[in-house]
Amino acid sequence: MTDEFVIVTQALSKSYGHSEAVRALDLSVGRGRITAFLGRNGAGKSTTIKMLLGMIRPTSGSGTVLGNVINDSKESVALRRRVAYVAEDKPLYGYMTVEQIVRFARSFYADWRIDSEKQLLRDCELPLRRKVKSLSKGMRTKLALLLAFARRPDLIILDEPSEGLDPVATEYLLQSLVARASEGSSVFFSSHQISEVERVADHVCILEKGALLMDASLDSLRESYRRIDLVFPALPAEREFRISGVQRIQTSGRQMSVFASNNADEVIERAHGLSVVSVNVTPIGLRDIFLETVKENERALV
Amino acid sequence: MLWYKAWLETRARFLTCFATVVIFCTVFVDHALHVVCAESLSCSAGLWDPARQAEVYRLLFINQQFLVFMWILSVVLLGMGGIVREGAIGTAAPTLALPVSRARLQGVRVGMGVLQAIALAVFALAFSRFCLDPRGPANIDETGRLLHPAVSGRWNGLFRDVDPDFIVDSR
Repeated sequence: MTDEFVIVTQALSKSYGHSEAVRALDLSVGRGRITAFLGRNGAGKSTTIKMLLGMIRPTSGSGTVLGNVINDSKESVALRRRVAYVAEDKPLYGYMTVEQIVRFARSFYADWRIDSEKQLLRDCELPLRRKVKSLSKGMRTKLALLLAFARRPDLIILDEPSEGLDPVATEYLLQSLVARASEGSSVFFSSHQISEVERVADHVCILEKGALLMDASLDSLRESYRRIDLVFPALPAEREFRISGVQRIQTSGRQMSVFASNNADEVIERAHGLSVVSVNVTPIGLRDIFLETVKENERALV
Repeated sequence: MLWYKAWLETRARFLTCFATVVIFCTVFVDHALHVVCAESLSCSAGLWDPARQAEVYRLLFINQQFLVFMWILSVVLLGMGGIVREGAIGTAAPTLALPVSRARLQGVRVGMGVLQAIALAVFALAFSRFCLDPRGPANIDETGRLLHPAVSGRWNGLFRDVDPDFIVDSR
């Protein structure tokens, strides 16, 4: 189990007073994969990441990262030695220069690679003598990524890594993520940029209001999610299509659009039984899957 | 490197406190010279007027009380910071993500504060001892020139007969 997964949580929860930031989260992140962690603002992504790194204590539940128990202070120190982390908003010590912060970070990790450091400094064109506080947001993001990528960690955890990056730097980041994964590192990253997730992720987890809504491989999502546009001579009742896997039905005139997470064939069969005039089946992109999943959850809660 | 980080974070406060103590001591010496030597030629001649001994002791006592008060203020200033402060300015995440325990983070922060507080206290003590050392008039003159050119040459006369332990033990 621990060999197969780099992150495992059981009923992990975090509350701030009466507000539940994370609710009974059962999460498994596979080794060697690039796993994307999606969710709206305030869904609990950053809180989950902080609990995984031992930066905040869970209210209840447990978890392991690289086989180390996150609740145990000694083990969480050991796990942080093997994990590279880039925080949301890329907070860095503004009073240090780029050179000082690189030297500072280097001193803590045995897996630091000087050659990678030099290469990244060249690629990112970071001014060594400049204070971090005087860097632009993009430069600061590059520096934070450099501190993570100059190592050879077992696991890379990134919290919205592409925030503040220009398209060229974003492309460089995505390529770096794939390169690190091909070198054997597992990558777990949260993002709002679904197009980026679609490009690099193998696996997707969707978090909403602290609860895990989806944990699936991107390939399986692409295969199972379909949008079926149907045209009828006379619009049938929606309940005819309310079957397992159908997430949402939209109607307009004589046209009906069915969003199905699976069972697309069953929907088409029923449509033919209702004298459908036209059937058009299209795969759904991750963006629509995400929106549908979140809306479906809202409807279920109502 | 945690010590280095702690030093970078606190050096501005420490140097401010240090400069304040230096300025205070210099101003005190200057003031003492005005009070004790203004109307006497004995200081410039390298002799201290025994009739003004009580005045000197009074000034030294006040100086010591102010130094203690300033040191306490400095300790409060140097004790500020740490992870709560980092949380407020938004740099807690990279610190807590370091592969070190909270106890070590706290220990280094406290250790740096203690060392700086000791450094301030030792400086004040050494400054007083140095100025009062009857064996080193040349050094006293040198210090006087460095700290305050106006009082150069008169230090020896002012402090020659004052007991060095007085400053420390006057309580």
